Amino acid sequence: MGAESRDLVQGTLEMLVLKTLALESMHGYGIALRIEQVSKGVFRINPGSLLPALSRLERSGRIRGEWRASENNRRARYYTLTAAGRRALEQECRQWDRQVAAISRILEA
Amino acid sequence: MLRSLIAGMRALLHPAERKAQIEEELRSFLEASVDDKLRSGMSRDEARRAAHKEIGSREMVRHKVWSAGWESWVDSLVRDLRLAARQLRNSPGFAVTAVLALAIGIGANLAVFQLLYSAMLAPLPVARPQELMSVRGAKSPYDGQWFVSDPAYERLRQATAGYAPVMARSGFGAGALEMQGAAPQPARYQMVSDNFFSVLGVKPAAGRLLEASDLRPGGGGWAVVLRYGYALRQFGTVDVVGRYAVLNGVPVSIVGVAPEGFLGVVTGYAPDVWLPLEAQSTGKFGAWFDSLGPGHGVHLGQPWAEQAGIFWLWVTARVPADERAAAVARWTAALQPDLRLMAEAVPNGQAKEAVLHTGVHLIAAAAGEGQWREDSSLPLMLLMALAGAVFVAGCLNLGNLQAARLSAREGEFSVRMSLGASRWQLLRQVLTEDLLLTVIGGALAVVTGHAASEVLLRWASTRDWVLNLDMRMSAPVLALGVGMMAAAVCVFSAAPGMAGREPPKDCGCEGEARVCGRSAEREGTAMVERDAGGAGEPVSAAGGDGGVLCEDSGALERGEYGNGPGACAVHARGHGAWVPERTAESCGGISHDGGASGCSAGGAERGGGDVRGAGVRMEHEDPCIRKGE
Repeated sequence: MGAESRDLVQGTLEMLVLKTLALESMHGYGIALRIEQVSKGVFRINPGSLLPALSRLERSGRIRGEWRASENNRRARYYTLTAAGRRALEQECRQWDRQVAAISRILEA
Repeated sequence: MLRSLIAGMRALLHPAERKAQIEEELRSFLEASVDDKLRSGMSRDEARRAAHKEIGSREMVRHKVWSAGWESWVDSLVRDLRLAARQLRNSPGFAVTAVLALAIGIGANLAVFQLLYSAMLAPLPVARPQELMSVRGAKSPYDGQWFVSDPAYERLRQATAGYAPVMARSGFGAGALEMQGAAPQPARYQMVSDNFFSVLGVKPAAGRLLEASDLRPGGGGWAVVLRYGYALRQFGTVDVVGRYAVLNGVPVSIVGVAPEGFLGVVTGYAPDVWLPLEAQSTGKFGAWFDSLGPGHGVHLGQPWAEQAGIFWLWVTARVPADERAAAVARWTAALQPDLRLMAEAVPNGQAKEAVLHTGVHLIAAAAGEGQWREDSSLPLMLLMALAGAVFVAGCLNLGNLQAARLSAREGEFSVRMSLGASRWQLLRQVLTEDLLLTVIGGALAVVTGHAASEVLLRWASTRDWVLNLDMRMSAPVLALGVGMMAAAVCVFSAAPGMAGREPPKDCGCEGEARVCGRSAEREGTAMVERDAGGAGEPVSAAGGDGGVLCEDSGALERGEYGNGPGACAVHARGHGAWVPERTAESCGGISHDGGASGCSAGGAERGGGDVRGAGVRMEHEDPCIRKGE
């Protein structure tokens, strides 16, 4: 682990997963890769965190998983955002915005 | 919520399927990662190595995914219970002592409380028992009982007709019930007023109960009602309604069977047969009575119903709380002629005045009536206190025993803490063991307690009359049992003083190996592990002549020192060079049931432990030891 933390802010992983899946269905590694790429390598998601999060999200009905052939013709579990997941994402984004704005105000004060 | 519940249940019922899913998902992740790295120009070996490194401990990932569901709690509980059972099996002396002590301690309390509850506290199984009051005027002149005569009962009944119904019952009589074609069977009977069952609000188990039409014998004889248990015992069924019999030589017709659990209103004394008061007129049914004696117009050979000088009925009323004062005033007024009559048998003076000025008073009859109930209250309370003391003493002794046992297990706890077990996990293990012991002891206590309460009841009975109480398990008795079990667990677990336990300060110790390990959840703790897949990065372990590493959690999971996935242990003993051949043997020392198969020397050459004398120490800097994510 480098000097700069690559840890996610606690509680944001599920939001990031939902956001990533809002664009298209993806398998687990694809989600991890996308988050790493979009964050320009700042966040690296370990499967030890990602797979449990996917399991929780699937059980809560926010995403739906199904086994499909991947681009390399391998069997992979693809996750798709559900309507409930979309609503949850919107809510979490709003909450995140509020929190970030509040923290910024405190830091700038 | 429902989805999670169903998925969790499915995982619990088909754990192999769930684990296979997790494994497949993990493999898919790994393959996608390898493919991605191949695309970026790495060689296959490099790609695989990098992908494995990226994923880290696969066992840990599996464990984390499994732990994401609620079912992992159940799984942990089962795991804890299995471990606890194994620990107890390894200490049969302690386990048997504890179980027996608990069975006796809790059983004795359940037995006495069952009796106390049935005799003193249990409300009668009737409608609104709190409204039932025993109506008492003056004691009968010679026997000192709260008897009234039949005419007095009729006046009391009339006085509050409409808002406070009054019923009467006689004492018990011994008789013989003879069914057609069968030998006479002993039967205890009690004569009751026609409204006895209706005032109580009891519903029959079969047929009907006594009513106003039973004041005279019907076509088949006097109507009688059987007690449920009696009917079952005598006839094997309660389907006896409409059958004719002869009781004390008088034809009777069985019109119904009282409900199960209804034993009358006299605690401890349950008649087998109820029949109308009017049946006394046959002269074949006697009962306890008192009278003014000769010279007061008393003729015992004639029907007692019309004789004010024969006192033989106890009176009970159903009177709502707000009607009590008015009812008492009316009953006192109604009883005046009888008080004057009773006073005739009392010598002139203060005693006579006392009888003449007696007012009716009420005694709660919600939990039953009778002399035995009043007489047995103090002995039962004392017995209860004694049983409570036995339980407390037993618990304290067990607490001491437990403390000594835990002290002897210090080494085991140290090993587990070295492996990364938290204090809570150790406490949970001890608690689970205590809980298991207590549940087994408690279950045994319920059985022995029930048997002992029956023995106590027999012991309290007389030769003439076996006491009859409803001894079926009831909620308060069950609550006491559970409460005592909880108290036992608390005392048990308070004794160990787990709070004082500290993890060993040094990983090595004289002449004997040390263990380095981790639990899956604990961050930054040294870990020794090798993936089950075999393709993963082999990791470390080393040292002494018995260094070993375990392939996965299985060995330890089944072993004595831990039960958490991802944990692993190194056990080394003695001095000397690394001897790979002995690793399995060493690991077998840890694995309780042949977990040596899970051991491998494969990581030895990569092992990074430094050998300090006989000890082994795994350092965090070791390349083969990962930190928690």
